[in-house]
Amino acid sequence: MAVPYKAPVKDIVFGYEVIDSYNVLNKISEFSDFSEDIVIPTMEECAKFSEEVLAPINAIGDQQGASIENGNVTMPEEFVDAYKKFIEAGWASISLPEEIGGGGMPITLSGGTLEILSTANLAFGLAPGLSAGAISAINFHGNQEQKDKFLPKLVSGQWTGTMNLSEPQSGSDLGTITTKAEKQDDGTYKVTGTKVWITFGEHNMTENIIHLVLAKVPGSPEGTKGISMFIVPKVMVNDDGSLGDNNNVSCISIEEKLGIHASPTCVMEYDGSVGYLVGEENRGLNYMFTMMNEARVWVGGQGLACASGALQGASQYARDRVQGRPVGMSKEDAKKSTIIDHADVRRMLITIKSYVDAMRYLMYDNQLMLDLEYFAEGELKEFGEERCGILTPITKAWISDLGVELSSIAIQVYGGMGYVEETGVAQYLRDSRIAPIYEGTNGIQALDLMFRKLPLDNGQAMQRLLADVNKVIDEMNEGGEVLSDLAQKLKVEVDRLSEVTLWLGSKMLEGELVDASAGATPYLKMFGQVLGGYYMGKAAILATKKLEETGDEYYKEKITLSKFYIEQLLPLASGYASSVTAGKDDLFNIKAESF
Amino acid sequence: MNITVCAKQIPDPANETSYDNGIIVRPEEQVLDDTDRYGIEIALQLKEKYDAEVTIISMGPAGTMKGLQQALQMGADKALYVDDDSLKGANSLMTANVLSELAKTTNADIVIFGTESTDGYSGTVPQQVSRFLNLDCISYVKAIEIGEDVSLTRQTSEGSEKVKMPQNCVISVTAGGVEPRYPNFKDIMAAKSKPIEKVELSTLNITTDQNLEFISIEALENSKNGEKIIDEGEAFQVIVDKLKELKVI
Repeated sequence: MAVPYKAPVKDIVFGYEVIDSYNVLNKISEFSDFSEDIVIPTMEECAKFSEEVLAPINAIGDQQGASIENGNVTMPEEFVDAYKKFIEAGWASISLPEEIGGGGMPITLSGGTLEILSTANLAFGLAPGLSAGAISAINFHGNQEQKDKFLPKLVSGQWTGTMNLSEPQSGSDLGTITTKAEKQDDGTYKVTGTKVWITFGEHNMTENIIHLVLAKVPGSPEGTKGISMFIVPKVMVNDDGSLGDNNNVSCISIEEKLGIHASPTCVMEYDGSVGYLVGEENRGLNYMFTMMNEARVWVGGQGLACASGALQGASQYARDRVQGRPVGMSKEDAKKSTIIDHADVRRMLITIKSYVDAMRYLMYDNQLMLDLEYFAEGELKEFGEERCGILTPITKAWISDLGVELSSIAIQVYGGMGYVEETGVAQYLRDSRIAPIYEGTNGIQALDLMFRKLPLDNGQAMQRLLADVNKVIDEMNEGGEVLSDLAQKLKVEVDRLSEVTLWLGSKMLEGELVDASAGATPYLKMFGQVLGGYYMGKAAILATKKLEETGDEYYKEKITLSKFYIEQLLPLASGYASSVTAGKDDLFNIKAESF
Repeated sequence: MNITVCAKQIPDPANETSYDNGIIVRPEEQVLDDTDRYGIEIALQLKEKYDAEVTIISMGPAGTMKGLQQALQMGADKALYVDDDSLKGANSLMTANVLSELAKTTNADIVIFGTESTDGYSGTVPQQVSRFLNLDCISYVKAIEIGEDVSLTRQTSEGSEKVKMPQNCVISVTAGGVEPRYPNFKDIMAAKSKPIEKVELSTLNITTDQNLEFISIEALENSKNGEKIIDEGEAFQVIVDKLKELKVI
């Protein structure tokens, strides 16, 4: 049996302090009263809901999954019931603007709730997650009539929303989509085409689904410049808000997948369906990009969620499982000992736990930067935009890759029992595997970091981030023996990252772009590893202060986790350096057919 | 209509309970007793139907008042509490006396309880409160309708029964009749500005004495030790036979 989920509320609340969220958000007028008084009850109640409603049906969703018959997708009945409770509790809309019925809270607050909800039940969380994308698209770019017609029920969760981008021949390159939208006399469009990978494209949890569809208007420019965005409801919505006829939107099939079985991944067919243009023609991809950062941070969070959930199961199993005599332990003591007494098992657990902390701080900080970008003004807004640009590909790719790796380590803690489905940990590995793929593959994230973000402001944006890391190192140097020792180790890796960054910059200036691109993924991994050290350094500073104030053992453990990360995990960063600077030659010196 | 719900803050049941001389050690941060969530849910359903005001009353160390906040987050309108050192280790009669005096200050039409607290388990406070208030009392309520009188569905050992009560009454609610709501995010935020008022014990008309003497506390021994079955390949058959013997299968 899987271990019942218990949300790590104390760790989450600590995370909000590590990134200094209260002081930063209080500078924005809308969030001037954002404080622990909001974060703690929110996380506690979200935890209670997730532990009692979502986590118990996670395995049901995995085993039963969504099913399709005659185009109708049926969810496990427990999911239909849970969705009703979910929208009553309002968790889907806490970070949406108050004027459209949301909770008016910063995006940062949804970092913790997303982590909790996704750990409890990743597949379930995808339905409201996709709705959030559709809501943002309509809210930012739709006209008033569209907002009035579609937003209230999307925000309340009465309807869900989807994002329709990919087609069988168009995945990472959307310029080749063929779905067409023909303008009608009444100003609407007839949308015709097939879309693939549509998360929750069809289901029976709500009476209507609002699809956001990318399509080309005949005569529009070639490639990505000719893409427009349309609202296509599954069921037409009358002017009085009541539901009308079906809109010729059908689900042809759902995919059999490795994980997230309770999230139906649909092939959707639009057959002359009525579509409403969002904004202007040919601006669809630009509109899509305005939501991209938020969505990518969320996908990174899914890696965090899977690793965090897998850790809970693995640590409980390690505390319970009696097996083998740990090195150095007497036979008598070994009878009462469990596998958590073995150094190697402890190494696995502390590795996951340290990474989970580092991943959490990075993800929350990225969301904090999103809040600055969206809601702050002047220099603070510019800073948020710049920092968000750099952090987002790292959050998405570094965390989602680690989600897979750490879930796999958790299985190793279980031994054979991790490989069978009964213990539930295998589901985390299977569910986590999609995150490095969707919302822009991790390879694309690495290229984004290298070619779009590294050159920002002639490389000055990157230098400003590295300067911030060095500021934390200075602070650690002033914080006593333990912290200053860690500071020196962090400094070694930051300096190495700076060197590698300069090398890449020079290659790009010389036009050796293939050489640079060959090192993109190891560069992102190196960057993530160093940023993890930066956040763990911040956490160690805070925990040292709190330990002095409270004497609480919890903070002592936080210092140990930072120490372990900086001394034993962070040095992996340097290991990536030679891959970053190796160039393209070895990769292309093997013929394609020889692979 | 004024509905008053008695709710208790208890140490988080997820942690081990500790005792000092037989009295539960109460940390600063206590949580709302899950049993009380059923009473609050019934009250909130009545509020939605009949436009009532729901007041939480509570006795005990207030601490961070997290448990009271949780009751307000569910949707109750306000909370009153008594926190007085002299009430430490109060017996159920004293507790009932204090709660009934608190209930009087709310002009309660109906006073609602959970069946029994999760930390004390006396299960006698609702009945004692009803005597102090001179109201009829009924226990194990699953559902409630209010018309000219109060119509209740009550859990019994055979199933359930319908009972009519006068408009003013004390009821205790059993788990399972209703499903306590999860606080809506907006209600969580709204609860921050709802009133929580401390009532001084000296302002209440307390007529009973603290007459409980604590003697000792002992752990209950298991009435029967389990039987260990060693699996040498046939353990399943032994278990099947045992289950047949018990007429489970």
